[in-house]
This record gives sequence, C-alpha cells and structure tokens, in this order.
Amino acid sequence: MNVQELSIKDALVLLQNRKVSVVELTKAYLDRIEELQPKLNAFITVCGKEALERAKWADGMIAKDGKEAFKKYPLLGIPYAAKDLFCTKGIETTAGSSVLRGFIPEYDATVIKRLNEAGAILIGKTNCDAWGHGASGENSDFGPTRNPWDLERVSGGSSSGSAAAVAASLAAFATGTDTGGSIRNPASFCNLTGLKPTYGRVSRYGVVSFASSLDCMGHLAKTVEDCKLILSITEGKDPFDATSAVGKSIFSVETLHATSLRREHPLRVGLPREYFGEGVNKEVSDTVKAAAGKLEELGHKIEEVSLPMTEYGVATYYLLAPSETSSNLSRYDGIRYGNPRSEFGEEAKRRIMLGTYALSAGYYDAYYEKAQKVRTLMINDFVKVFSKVDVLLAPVAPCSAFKIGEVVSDPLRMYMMDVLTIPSSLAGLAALALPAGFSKEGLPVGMQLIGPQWSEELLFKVGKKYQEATDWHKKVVTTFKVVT
Amino acid sequence: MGGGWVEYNAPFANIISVKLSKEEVLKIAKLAKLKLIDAEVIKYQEQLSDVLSYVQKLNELDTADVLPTLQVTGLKNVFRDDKVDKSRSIGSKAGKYFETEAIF
Repeated sequence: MNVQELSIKDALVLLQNRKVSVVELTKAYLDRIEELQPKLNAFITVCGKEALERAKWADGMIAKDGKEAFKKYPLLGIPYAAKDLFCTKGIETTAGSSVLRGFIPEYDATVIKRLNEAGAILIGKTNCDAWGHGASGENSDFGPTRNPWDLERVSGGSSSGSAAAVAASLAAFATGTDTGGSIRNPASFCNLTGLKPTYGRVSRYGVVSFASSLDCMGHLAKTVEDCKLILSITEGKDPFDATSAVGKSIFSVETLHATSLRREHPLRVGLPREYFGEGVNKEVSDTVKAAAGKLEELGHKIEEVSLPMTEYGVATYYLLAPSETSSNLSRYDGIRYGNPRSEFGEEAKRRIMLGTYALSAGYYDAYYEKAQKVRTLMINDFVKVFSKVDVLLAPVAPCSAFKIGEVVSDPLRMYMMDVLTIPSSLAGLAALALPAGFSKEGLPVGMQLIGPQWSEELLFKVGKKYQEATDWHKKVVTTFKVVT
Repeated sequence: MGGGWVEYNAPFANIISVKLSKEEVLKIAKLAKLKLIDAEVIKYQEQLSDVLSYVQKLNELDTADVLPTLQVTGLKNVFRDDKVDKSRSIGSKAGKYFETEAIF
C-alpha cells in the first residue's frame, strides 16, 4: 500500500475490505510525516499519540460492526490534518502566530467536532500564514512551508501547511479556510483539489476569525469526489454560528443554480476575459484555456463573458478584510490568554493598522463604507453573468508557485496574488479549485470553477467529469528536492 | 521562476498619492494598541501609504446610489425558539444554584 496513491475513497475501500488496518494506515502517514516534515515544515503540531489511540478505537469499531461501521462513520479511519486556525480541544492551536504559541483550546471547532464524529482521525495541526494573512505561507511565525513540488518555492497560502501535507501524502485530506483565496491558491500551487464553500455553508464556530463576512471553512484533498464527501460531513446549520444557514443568499440566484442542475447537456461554462488578461502569466492562461477545450470535448458549451469590476477587487478586499481583522484581533490582549500584542508579526501589524485607519472617525465613509458599496457592484457583476452561464472557469493565481522570498518583501505585490480569487470571495460564492496541468518547469497550474451561492453540487458535477477525463490530479511528487 | 508575473506593473499606476505622517502612524498604532519602534514607524509609514494610495482606485467608481453590502447571507435576526434546552445547561447538584470548584 502506497499512501501516495490513495484518495479518501481508495483508503475507505482498503479499510472496508480489511486490506489494511486503521493503525497501519495511520502509521504509514505518521512515518511519512517523520521523514518529510523537516523538508516541508507543513506541520506546527503532530499528534501521533492521540491519532494512534483514535486509530485503535476505529479498528475496534470495524472489528465489531464490519462494513456497518462505515455507514455510521462515513470517514472512519481516515487521517486528516487541520489548519492551525481550527480550535482542537487539548491540542495546541496557534493560528500560525506567536501570540497564541502555547494556547490550548478548551473545545473543538464545529468542523473538527463533525469530522471526528464521522470517524476521521486528526493527525496534526498544519502551518499557515499567521491569522490567515497571506498568499504564500511566508507570514507564518513558525517558518514558511515549502512546496513539495520544489522545495525552494512557496506552497501558497494561507493554508500552506494543509496543501503541502496533502500534496506530500502526509494526510488524506486537510481542513483550510478561504477568505480571499487561501484554499484555492495553495491547492493551485500544489496540484490539489480545494473547495471554498458558499459563505455560511460550513460553520465558522471555533475557527480563529480573520474577516467575519468573508471567512469560509473548506478543505483540500486529492479529488473532487473526496471534497464532496468531506463537505457532506462539515456543512450544515450550526446554532453556534449565527451566519451559518442553508440556502440563504443575499441575491436571488438560488433558482438560477437549481435550473442549472436540472439542465441537461450542455452546461454553459463562462470564461471571464478579465481573468485571462494582461496580469496573468501566459502559460497559466493557456493551460486553463486548454482545460476549457477539454470541457467542450466533454459536451459543455464554452463562452467568453465579462466581469468588468474585477480590477477593483483587490482594493475593495484590502480595505474590508483588514478592517474586519483589526476588530477580530483586538481580543488578543495577552491578558486572558495568549501572549502580548508585541508578538504580532509584520503582516498582522500591517493589516491591523490598515483596518484601524479605514474604520477610524473621519475615514470610515471614504474607505470602509466605500469598499462596502463597491462590494455590492462586484456582486452585481456575478448576478449578471450567472443569468448567461451556469458556471465560470478561470485560473486561480496569476502565476505558478514562486520562490520563497521573491514576493514577500513587497506587501502590495503579494496582495495582487489574490486578484483572481477575491471577487468570488466578496460575493460569497462557491468555488472549486482543481489541477489543470503543469508548467514547463514542472510546477502545478490550478484552475477554479466558480458558481452561484449554494451551487457546489454543480461544481462537483463538472469537476468530477473533468477528473474522469484527465489525470493531472493523480500525479504525485516522486522526489523531494530543489528543482530549479 | 513562477512564470514571469512578478514584473507586472500596471496595477500600481496611482491616481492620488496618500502619504501618512509619522504622527498619523503613531496615532493608528495607539488606537490599535500596538507599540512600534522608530524603524517600524518609518517602514509602516511607507507601506501603509502605498496601500492607501492604491485603494484610491475605488474613487473611479460612482457609488452615490449604491447600498453597502454588509454580509452576503441576507440573514436577519437569527434567533432560536425560546424553549429551554436542558442539554445545554450546566449541571448543578445544589438545585437552583451553580456549583463550581473552590478558588481559595
């Protein structure tokens, strides 16, 4: 058994047919972590002891109930990693920041609780940009995570460790958060499938907040099918999260996606011209266009559409998100828990100050409220486009993984990395990132399917068809070394 | 290299340049309860000014008749039924009192 070749579904088959025990499977992942963690720095905390205890419990369940056990626990025996923004009871949770170094939560985040109750086995907490602030993993106070495909390069961010862990097969899947692209970006850089659910679909309770009107709790795995399975466990209204809901949308596109689901072939796939323009590396653009060609072969209708507000996304987001984070990070006073505010890293301080300024008296209207109004305009862009097409296809990032240190010294340049993921985040839409190919240098290039709110089923349908006809997502790293 | 994108310059054509003074940076830091050393004040002065200059871009848009979006769920007044859920109450052996561990 080679865990590199296993998706969650494959692992479940092996476990159900007793080809391998949960303890053996968990040990296989733990062995890989021991070998590769020094090279990748994907984890902040590894909880091997707890994982093996849970594995023993899982084997007990299988011994007792056989295949019935998997009906009760749909993820029984599957080792997973959690981004260190997710509170895990009794296990250190740092949010990637020195401010929470040593912090041990008294409770599990709802997502963690649901995954554990489904029988999944938490194997460790993954590295991330502190507080979710970043698009590369370089803003972690615990050192950057390295891309398994080229150790000199970033794995993307802010769910950097989660991506590296799944890409290197250190876990079968990993949780992540996507506020402005933080699941899709590392999925794209590491050849993974990553889901940013509709805002409100998955509970935010127990997850360290970045921007409360934008944070989406999602995950990274090797296949679209795996992502669909994980969502079925994590989604759903949570009384502890007042913004969680089923099918609630600020604009009436609910009926739009329902129509799309009922529609027989062909589905209409829109390529927003602004996402393939001057600011996007040509190789990335061409790779995603080739994927569009593939979708056309599979029977979908491809057409060019326009999202003219795209160029205003970064400015809007980098007023709204820092404002919300300046408020959310004010609870870290170093008095009741955590370390003093002097422990905040550079990017955290930058965003807190940007937000404080934008919200302060005399500036609120010109900055924060202005950005909220432009947000409305950006949402309207999507409402118009989704009356013409069912789903959008676009690149995730303007380039493939860059070298560590190449971009981080220029904050504004790093912010531009999110240009293709921000607009869908501002609109709270569903977005699925999946592998589209490789660059000449052998670096993964990802693409994203974007749909109206609550259209995940549609995205899974298109994505699954694409993955049945291609095998980019099956490629794994064979040797871990510096490449270029 | 990550695809020759890093040279792309076009987004940074600023319309208005915002330049924060040292005093403004220190005031922001004070409001945010962050202590900055001199070198940091200079560094953030430049970086924050850059970002604030860039976001002036939003002034290209006429939003006089646009309503702000506060959240995308459309939810309002998320209440639960006013029914007692015994499973959520803290257990107490002392009847109508709460029992806790001794502090002293």
